[in-house]
Amino acid sequence: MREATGNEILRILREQSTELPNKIHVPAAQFSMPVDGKGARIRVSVRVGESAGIAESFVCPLDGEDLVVRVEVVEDYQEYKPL
Amino acid sequence: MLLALRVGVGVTNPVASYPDGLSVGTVDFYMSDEDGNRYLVSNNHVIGESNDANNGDSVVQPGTLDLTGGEFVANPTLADLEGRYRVAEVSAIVDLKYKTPNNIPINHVDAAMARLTDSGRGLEELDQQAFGGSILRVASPYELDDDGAIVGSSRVFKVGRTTGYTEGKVTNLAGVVDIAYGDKDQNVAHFTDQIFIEETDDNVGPFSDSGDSGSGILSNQHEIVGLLFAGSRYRMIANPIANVLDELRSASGIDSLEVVTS
Repeated sequence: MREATGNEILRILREQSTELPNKIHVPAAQFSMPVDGKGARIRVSVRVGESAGIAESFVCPLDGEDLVVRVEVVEDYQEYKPL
Repeated sequence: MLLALRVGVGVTNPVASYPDGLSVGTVDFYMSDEDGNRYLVSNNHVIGESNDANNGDSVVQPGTLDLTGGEFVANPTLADLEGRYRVAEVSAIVDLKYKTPNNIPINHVDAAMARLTDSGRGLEELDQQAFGGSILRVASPYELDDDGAIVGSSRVFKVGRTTGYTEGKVTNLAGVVDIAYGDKDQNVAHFTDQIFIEETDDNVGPFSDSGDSGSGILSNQHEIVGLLFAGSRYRMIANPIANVLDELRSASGIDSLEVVTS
């Protein structure tokens, strides 16, 4: 099983956003893909103290193929407001 | 003397709130259609009242929160305000779809547009086009290299009503966030495919703040990248411009809408 590429992770975030909390087993979180050149992965932003137990990767189907998606958990959950 | 309609300056839909409630957001760029109409672009929550506005509602500049004491006294009623400062009428609102206990609808944009009216206002800055004529084109979606970095520059800038000209960098793509709307944050909208932006190290203060909603996000190639609509102290969120165009075309029924560029 291969790792998801950056473009595949973008698609997973766009197409499976409501399923991600269950797949990654997080209650309240924000998801995104960092573009810092440190590899394709999903950043999971959780509240302080909620990062324990979250897996470093999960398997996600895309176009009929199971892909390994790397996960980066950061305790930087923020309440965003309309400006 | 009437002021020119200015980009990067506040606008308000005052119909439901004035004079009891004052607010402001930003307009930064325009669109046109094949019939020659021009439209200012901002957020639903700025000129669409978060779904509560109607097409035909007035948009005024300056925004009501930016009225001086003298301007406020001189325009005690909505009719007075509209007569003096109306620059556009709401013509399309992309509805915000809120979460319910049993449903999580997907939102891509917080956007609305208003057709410029014959207000007698000088349109010099519009004639120069937004950002002093520096929107050269609509940006293509960001491309990634094998390491997941943006191909080309991630630097962006904007001109907003509150923080003015600021510079930032795109840090994350395809962001998935929930945003609370309403006086009591009672309506929560689930957004996907969002652009995250942080201020650059050499920027003084935040990339944006309250009142900057509606700012256009430009790349350092002067391509319009997105529409700013939300944020926190440390991170700002913008709708990708392609989604803004698609959804405003759909909401307005005007397929010929294009961003006004140099």
